[in-house]
Formats: sequence, C-alpha cells, structure tokens
Amino acid sequence: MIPQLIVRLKKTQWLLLAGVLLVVGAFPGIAAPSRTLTVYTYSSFPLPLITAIQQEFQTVHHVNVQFKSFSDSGPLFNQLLREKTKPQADLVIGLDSIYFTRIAKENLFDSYRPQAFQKITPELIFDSKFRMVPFDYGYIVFNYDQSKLDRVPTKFSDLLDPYYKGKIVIENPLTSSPGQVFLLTTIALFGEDGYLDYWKRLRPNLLAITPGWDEAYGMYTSGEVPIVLSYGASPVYHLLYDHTERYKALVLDDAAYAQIEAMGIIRGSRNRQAARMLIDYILSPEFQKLIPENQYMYPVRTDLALPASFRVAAKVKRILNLPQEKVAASLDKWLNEWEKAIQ
Amino acid sequence: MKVQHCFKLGLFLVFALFYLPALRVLIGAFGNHGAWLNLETFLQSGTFRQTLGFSISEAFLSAGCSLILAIPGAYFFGHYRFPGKKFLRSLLVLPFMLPGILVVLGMVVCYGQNGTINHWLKWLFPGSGWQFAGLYGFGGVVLANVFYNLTFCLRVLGESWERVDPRIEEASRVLGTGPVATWFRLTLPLLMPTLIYLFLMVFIFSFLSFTIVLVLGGYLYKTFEVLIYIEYNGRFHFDQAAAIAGIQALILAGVLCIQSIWGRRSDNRSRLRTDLPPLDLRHHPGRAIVWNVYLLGVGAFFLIPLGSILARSFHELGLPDTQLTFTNYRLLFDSGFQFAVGASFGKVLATSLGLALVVAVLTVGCGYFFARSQRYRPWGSVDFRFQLPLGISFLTFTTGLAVLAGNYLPPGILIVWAQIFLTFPLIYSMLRNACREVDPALTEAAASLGATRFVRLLTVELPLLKKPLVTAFAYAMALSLGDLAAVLSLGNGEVVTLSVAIYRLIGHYRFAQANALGTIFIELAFGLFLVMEGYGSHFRNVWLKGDGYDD
Repeated sequence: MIPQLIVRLKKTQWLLLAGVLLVVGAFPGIAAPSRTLTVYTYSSFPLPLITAIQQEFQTVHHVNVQFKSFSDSGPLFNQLLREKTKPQADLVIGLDSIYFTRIAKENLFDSYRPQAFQKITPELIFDSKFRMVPFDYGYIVFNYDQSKLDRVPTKFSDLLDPYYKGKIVIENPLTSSPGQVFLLTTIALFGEDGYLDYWKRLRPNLLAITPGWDEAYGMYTSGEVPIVLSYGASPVYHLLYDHTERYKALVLDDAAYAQIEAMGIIRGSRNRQAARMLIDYILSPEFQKLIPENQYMYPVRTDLALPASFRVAAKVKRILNLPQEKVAASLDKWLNEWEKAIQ
Repeated sequence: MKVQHCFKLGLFLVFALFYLPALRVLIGAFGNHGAWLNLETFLQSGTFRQTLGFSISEAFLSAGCSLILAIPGAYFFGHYRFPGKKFLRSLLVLPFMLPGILVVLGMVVCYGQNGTINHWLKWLFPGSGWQFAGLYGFGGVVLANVFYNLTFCLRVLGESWERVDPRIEEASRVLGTGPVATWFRLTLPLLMPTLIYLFLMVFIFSFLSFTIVLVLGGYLYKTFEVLIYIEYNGRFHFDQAAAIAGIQALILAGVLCIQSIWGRRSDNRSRLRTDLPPLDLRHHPGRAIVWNVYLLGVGAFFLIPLGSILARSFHELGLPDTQLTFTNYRLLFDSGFQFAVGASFGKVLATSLGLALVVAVLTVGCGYFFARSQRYRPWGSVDFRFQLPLGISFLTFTTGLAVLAGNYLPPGILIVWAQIFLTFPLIYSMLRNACREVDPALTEAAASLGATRFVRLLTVELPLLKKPLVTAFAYAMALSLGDLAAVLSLGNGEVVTLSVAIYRLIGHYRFAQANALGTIFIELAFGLFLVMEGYGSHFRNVWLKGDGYDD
C-alpha cells in the first residue's frame, strides 16, 4: 500500500515534499563540535553569568559551553532522571540542597572536590563528598511593601494576627522551591509537632498560594498584597534598577532558612575535565563577584566583600537549616502532611 | 483514488504525530504492575472525588456562563452589519493569545482587592465600604475562565448565526408563528450543533485550567492538570502522573463522545453572500437599549482587565499610584532587556511571528483539507480521533515528545510539532462545523456547469468559507503566540517568543516592563487580526465610498 502510494505521488506532491524537507533542514541542526560542554540550568539563570562562562571558556580553554535551560528546577531534575542511563549533559548548575537526597539516592552525580573548597563557608557544604558543590546561597524570607503596610510584623507568630488577613501571598511547597524552603522554615521553627498547627492558623491570612515565584511576586509588585514570600536580596534589585527602597526584606525572629544552590558533574559525562574546570571557574573570586548583583544571591566564598547595594538585603542572625539527613528522611512525608492539612 | 490515498496517508501521519508521544508516556507508565495498583488507590481516594467534583462543576458553570453571555451578542453579530464590526471581531481573539500568567495578573489587577474595580468603587461611593471580594475562590476561577472563553463563543456563534438563512425565519413568521416559538422551534435547533460544540470546548478548556485554578482557587481547589504537574515535577512520581493523565484523557474522551452523539446532525443551511441589513438603532429604541447595555457590560468585563495592564505599563514601577512614564517602554529597547530575556526585542518579535505563521498555515491547511474530506459525513470516529488531543494533558504530550524526539530534532521543529498538537483539534472542529454548513448543491451546480475542482474551490468554496478560515487562522496564530508551555519545555531556552520574554521579565523582577511588553504584544496581535479581517478594504470603503458598515 505505502510503496504503491509513493509511486503514485505526482510531481507537485514531490515538490511539496521537497519543500517540507527544505523547511525542516533550514532549522539549525544540533551540530556537535568535538569540544562542547553541555550545561543544564533553569530558565531564570542570568544571562550575564552565562556569557561570562562562555567567554572565559571560549578564549582561555577553547571549549564551547552550551547551556540548555528548563522552566524550573523540577523539570530539570526530571530530565536528569529520564536520561539517567544515557546522559546528554555534563554539568548541572542550580539545583538546590533539597534535591541532594534524591540525587545521592539515584547516584546521578560524580564527586569532585574543587580546588577552592577551603574558601567555601563551611556551613554551606552540605555534601562532604562534593557530589553537589555549593556556588551561591540566599535566604527565603518575606518581603514587604513599606508604603502599603502600617504594622510591620517582627515575629512569625505576628503573621497569624487577623490584621494580615488577605495581605500575604506565598508559593506552593509542592511546586516551587521557595515554597518548599518556607515549609522547612516552619518545621525548623515549630518542630514536627507544631508546624501544621502554625499553617492551619496562617491559612486564613493567605490570599493565594501560587504555583511559582513569578505569580506571587507579580501580585506583590502590582500592589495586590503588601507581603510576599521571596528572597532576602530581592530589595537589592529594586534599589539598583527602580531606585526605590519601598520594598524591604522582612526577617522574622531574626532567623531564616538558607537556600543553597549547587552544581554537580553528571555521572557518565564524557567531558569531566572541562566540567571540573567550570566548577573551579564558578568558585573563582572573579566569577563569585558577579553573583550578588546578577543573581541576587550571596557568593559562597568567605573572602569576598559584598557590594554596597546589599545594605538593603536581609540581615539574618540565626540560620535555621535542618540537618540534611532529617530533610532527606522526611521531606515526602512533610509534603503529604502539609497538603492534607491545608485543604 | 489519488485524493483518497493522500487522505489516508495524511490521516496516518497526523495520528502518529499526535498520539505517539502521549502513548510513549502512558505505555511506559502502565508497563509495570505498580501503576495499576496506584490507579486503583487513586480512584478510591478523596482527592480523586474532590478533583472530579470541582473540575466538573467549575467547567460546567464556566461553559454555561460563557454561552449565555455570548448569545445576545452573537445575535447582533449574526443579524446585522454595523460600523466597527470587524474591529470588534478582531478584539474578540485577544484573550486566547494571552499567556496564563498574564490572564491571571490581568484579573488580579482588575478585579483584585486593590484592583481597578475596587478603586472605582472607593472613588464613586466613598465611605460605603463596598468592596468586590469575589476574585479569590470558586467564583474567581469561573470569572477568569469566562473572561478567557466568552469572546471565543461570541465570535464563533455569531458566524454560525450569520449562516442561518434569514428566509427560513421570515417564512416561519409569515406563517403566523410568534417570535419566541420561531426561536425555539427553528433558530435554536439550527444553532444547536454550534452551541453544543462551544459548550464542550469551553468545558474542556476550563477542565484543563492550571494557573488560574492554582492562583485564584486559594489552593482549596485542584484540577487533574494540577495533580499531574505536582506528581510529575514536585514529587517525581512519573507513573502516578501518567496514571492520572490517563484518567483525565478517559474522562475527556467521554465528554467528546457527547459531541459525537448530539452534534451528529448535519444541517445544510448555507446561503450565498447576501448582505446583512444594517443595524438601525434610530428607529428601534428597544434594540438600541439592549445593544448598548450589552456592549457596555461585556465590553467593560472584557476590556477593563486588558486596559488595566495597558494603564499600568505607563506607570512607574507598574503601580497605579505612581507617576506616568514611558520608562517601561524605553527599557524594552535597552541592553537590560537582552540580559533579562536572552534575545533582542527584534529577534523575539521575529521568532514569535514566524512560529505563529508556520503553525497557523500548517494547522489551517491540514485542518481545512481534512474537514473538507469529511464534510458529507456525520460526526464520526475520524473526527473523534482528531479532537481527542484536547483531552490529552499537554504536559504529558510535551514530556513524551521530549523523550521520543528531543535528542534528534532541533527545538524549532519540536515546538512547531507541539503547537500544532495544541491548535489542531480546535481549528479542525471549527472548520469542520463550517464546511458541513456549505450546501453541496452549490458546488454540484458549479461542477455541472463545467467548473474544474480547482475553480470550484477557488470561486465557490473558499469565498463561502472565507470568514471561518480567517477566524481559524486568527485563533491558530493566537494560540501559538500565547503558548508558553511548549516553548519553555522544548525550546532548551534557545527559542524566545513574546510569551517567554514576558515570563522572563516577570522572573527578573521587571513586572512593569512585562506589562509594557504585554501591551505591545496585544496591540501588535490586534493589528495583525485587523489586517486578516481585511480592514484595509474597510478604510477604502469608509473614506472613498462613504459606507462604514462592516459585514
């Protein structure tokens, strides 16, 4: 039937077919030069940082660094799982420490102790085998709009006051990493016995629980709510580009949970040497200095001064991070309990 | 015979392109025993019952409200010509091209607690304490869905109504039947297939909503699409995600079956292009009141959210209480845009338009080809299989596509493939409905007069179907322009369209610039739809002939 059909195709149809093939061929194919390092990241990873990496590697090492970005860290991790047996990338930049358990369990990354490991703030090294190497960190805290909020809370328990009803937007722990970090914050503060109770009392004050940071921050900057769950350095952006200090970071009880972003070499990578060089480059003072005002996170190196703009970033006295093993053992359980309690 | 083979080959190809990716995921998931067990537990869980209950009631209400609100407008669109009709028709396509995040933020900026409506209430009735608080909750979800779908219903129903031959109604009235009885016995049955079709389309779109339900539903409500996303990208239970996607596809397949049964009747009721009478408001005060109230009400409902986005794009920081400025627009052409978005403004524009054009040409071309081949047949299994992609979770499809071809095809092709999957069912069914309303007697008459197939197509069929084809083309472009999911998940971050640029601007704290880009995006698409409507010829008519009436 099919061969018969091909014979029957007329001149015009062949022309059509040729046209289609031409269109298909016109799209840039994935040509693979010998020295290409493929890096997976999430889509909001800042372009200036990508450009810095690409230029450095092109000029110094003659390696072409190709970035492939995913809408969020969830889909990124997803891709890693699916490609486990046939890895397509060499390095991942931007999965946070919460993914560590899953990555260790699935044996997705090779360990590499970077040259500058002694310069990294020791508390940030969550994997002693360096399968995941931290490169920046930030605090997940509330932010508030000074011009819209008369009573600024100082404690987590203040947020339960009916005054804040409809004034708070947070992200969903099941679909967004800031949301997940906030769930861990409440567990660190109120313990496994008390956190659900806190959530049940906080619930009426929440105007929305959004799927991602974008929707929440959009509602905040469009004036719908004065309080949003965001990053400790979010006000830095508004200072630098909007020249305003009306948006402030809100550190409750002087405490916050740190989100540590890490990178790792994918097991089975065929460019391990180049991948290692990239890890070392990202930890170099030259690159780490770019992080604060591009990524709005803190560099992991101990020997760098922060830019002046970071005076508006969150001041945290107590870091709440739970032990990695505890998070590993219970995260799924907590998420399930949270989902039941919030209904 | 030749056409027959071509048709079969095409059918085979389309089905393979549509179903292989989704099947890849489903088969992978149901290959192991655990999936069936999961499925059983899930079906017996409270989550399943709640999700089903919520999705059905929300989708049913959204579809019902959209249709009821669309009927009066469709009456005027179907019965009269009036100045600005093409303008309004172009306006109606806009909601479909807004990415989900912009629809939600538009609703928030308009109907939210600090939105435009509440500002007006405070200003008009100071001290009354009146506040519109209906956005967050079940009502808000329905409101947003109606905003998204009402205009689609209005446009398609209006066009269907135009094709009802007024002579039938006139004959009925002459024979002494009252206007109400004529409407129920004659007009309504003639419109029924379109009404059922629209109801089911809106039902399915609302059943699948994701961002709207998550943001406005206050996390009290979930759709199956939400469950799939959480299982897939939150908990990484792929099998569970695929099982839920399978159930959702089954439910929506059931819904589509309803259409096969009720929408079966084929009514031939085309007419040659007799001009519609002009809308005469001066001599019919009743008609004038209804029309103006309707235009004002629906116009406000639909335009205030769009207008709010536009207004805020001219404010500092995108806030209503700040100074007016052009800064947000100026910054779009700044190097900062390139840094945040990853491509220059011109490149983003070209990518978006190019992609939308390719998708629209392919979808409308194929859609027309298949719809035409099915035109004398009642709604059957071929139609069903073309429509079923509507019920397949887009997340499942893009995942399957990435697994199947992600490493072999460039991102551009993958995105076109996915967007055709996204648009084809809708475009096909629109054209299918339109094609079967063309009276075969007309083409047969032309054939008996010696017109070749090509001449018949060019001089009889295409002119008769001009409006549905333009509409289909506009909606295909709108859906492609508004798509975010396919470009984000298959584009590797290399392909940047306007929707992605808006999303990235928001992701890089540039909400006000996102508003500005959204405004440009809306205006640009609007201009494009006007051109497609042949607005150029309208201007010639107005200025050269003094006739400002649009069909």
